[in-house]
Amino acid sequence: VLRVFFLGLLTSLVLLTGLALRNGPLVGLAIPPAVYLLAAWWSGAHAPSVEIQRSLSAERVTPGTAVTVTLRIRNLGRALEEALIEDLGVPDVAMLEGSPRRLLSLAQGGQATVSCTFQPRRGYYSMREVRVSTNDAFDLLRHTTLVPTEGNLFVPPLTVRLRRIAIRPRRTRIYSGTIPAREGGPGVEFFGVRDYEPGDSLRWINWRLSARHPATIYSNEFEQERMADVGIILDARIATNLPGGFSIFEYSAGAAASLAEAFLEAGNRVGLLIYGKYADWTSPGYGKIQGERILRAVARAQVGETQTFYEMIIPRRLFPPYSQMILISPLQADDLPTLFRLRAMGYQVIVVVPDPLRYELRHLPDTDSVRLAARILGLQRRLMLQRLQRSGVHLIDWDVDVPFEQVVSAALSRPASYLRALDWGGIA
Amino acid sequence: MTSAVRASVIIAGCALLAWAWAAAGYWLATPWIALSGSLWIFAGGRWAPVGYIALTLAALAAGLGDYLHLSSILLVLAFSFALAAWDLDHVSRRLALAAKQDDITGLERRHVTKLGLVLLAGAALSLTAILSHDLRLTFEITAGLALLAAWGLTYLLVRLRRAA
Repeated sequence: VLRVFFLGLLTSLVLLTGLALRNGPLVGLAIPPAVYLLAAWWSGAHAPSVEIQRSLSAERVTPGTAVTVTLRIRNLGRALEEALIEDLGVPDVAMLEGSPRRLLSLAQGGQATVSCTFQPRRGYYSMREVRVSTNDAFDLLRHTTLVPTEGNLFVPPLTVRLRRIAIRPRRTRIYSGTIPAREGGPGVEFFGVRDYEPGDSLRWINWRLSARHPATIYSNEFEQERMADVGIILDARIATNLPGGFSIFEYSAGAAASLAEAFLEAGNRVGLLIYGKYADWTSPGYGKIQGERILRAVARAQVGETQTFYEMIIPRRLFPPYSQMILISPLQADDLPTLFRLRAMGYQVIVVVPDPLRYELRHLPDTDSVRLAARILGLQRRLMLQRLQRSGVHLIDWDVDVPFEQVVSAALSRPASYLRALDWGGIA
Repeated sequence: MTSAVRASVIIAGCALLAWAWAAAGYWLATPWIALSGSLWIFAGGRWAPVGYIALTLAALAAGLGDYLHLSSILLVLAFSFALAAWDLDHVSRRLALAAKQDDITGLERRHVTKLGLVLLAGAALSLTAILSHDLRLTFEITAGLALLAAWGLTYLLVRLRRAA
């Protein structure tokens, strides 16, 4: 539009000046651009009528795996001298082969293939449109059409398989599972002793205690194991996830997906909140379908602008009080009051803290000033984490160079008796 | 190919414009025209506004030349070359969108042919009009030439449309 406007204006000005000055050669000067404009108008920009079919070499891949997207284009209308084909669904990454954008000539009924190979990043790519632009002979006027196509590419975050995670929420659900329920009944771990009741198995009788009190018979009681509600909060704020401009968020996303997978496999009810530009909730649920929902939500997650957790409201329907809550966040000092509030509401809180300081240091030169700054920030961070730990939050400080399964194995795979001992000691 | 043709038409346009001005004794205009042409060659492909500014300057130089009664033939030809260079500026940027697999040479060749035909027709019409004005042709000859031009133009447009 700019080109046709510019040339039209220039031609008109030359022509009008020539007429005003009654200067024949000046009027003649306007003829070449006028012919150029007329030729462009005459050739016209026709609405393209094309049929496009998309095929993908794979619809679900891990980040970094090469994927080839192929478009088969068939021209159903008149011949297209120059058609710019742009695949809008292909992510903006470096191409290994081919290009998602091609400038083609298509004869009437002609066919062409456009393909590109790339390594996608984590995400859920809905490839629904291809833009086809045609123009007149001199590209003064352009006609653009969006052609609907089908195709989805799902790139879930890299997850690791976590072995048993021992959590101990205050409240569990009624269905049997693997989480100690703080209630006596059928189970494996010793819980306490009570009077014998008719129907108790003879194996449960505590003979030693019963011998000391001949008037009564005592039975051992075991701790029931049930399913629990687990709420995972993934911090997707720019302020915490981009230390020094390098994103640590990929590690957090992978950790969230791995934890969700592990808890769901153990039969628990898991929900997810991604707190970034806006709060993206995945309602709690069980099983593989819920696992898929959570994976999709984490795949789509992007860091956003929200500053603090202060305004975050947790609906009780989604994350019931006294349930287990796991926050994955590099944390800021401003976030502590919110975590204290969650503890006060009765949630058992575990915070996985990917260490932003060590992560950023990897990208910085090893100079005296950098080392000094790192030391000061390290001390501040340690103080912040100590404050958090004193409030009863179970803290997992994660240097992202160490594999996540190793960190979780060290911090969360303790036997139930050990955790109970900690509980009695009032430490965690 | 496009960049070579583009540089050639800029050089040709500047040379014709400088010749027209120098022939009338305006020698001072020559270095300015050469400077503008050089700038256009080197910066036009990268920065789109350069082409627009250069074409406006070419129109001004040609228009002023006509007002000062310089050689109309040289001025029309110079302006036509400037118009071609402006078009090729855009084509080179548009072809940057094409992938390696695209038939870039074919697209370039077809476009340059079309452009050449259209500007040849435009310049021919313009020169015919100007010369007929200078030669004071009779009405019959003028009408005949006009009809011939109209037929030629129509034929050209029909060919262009068919090709598109």
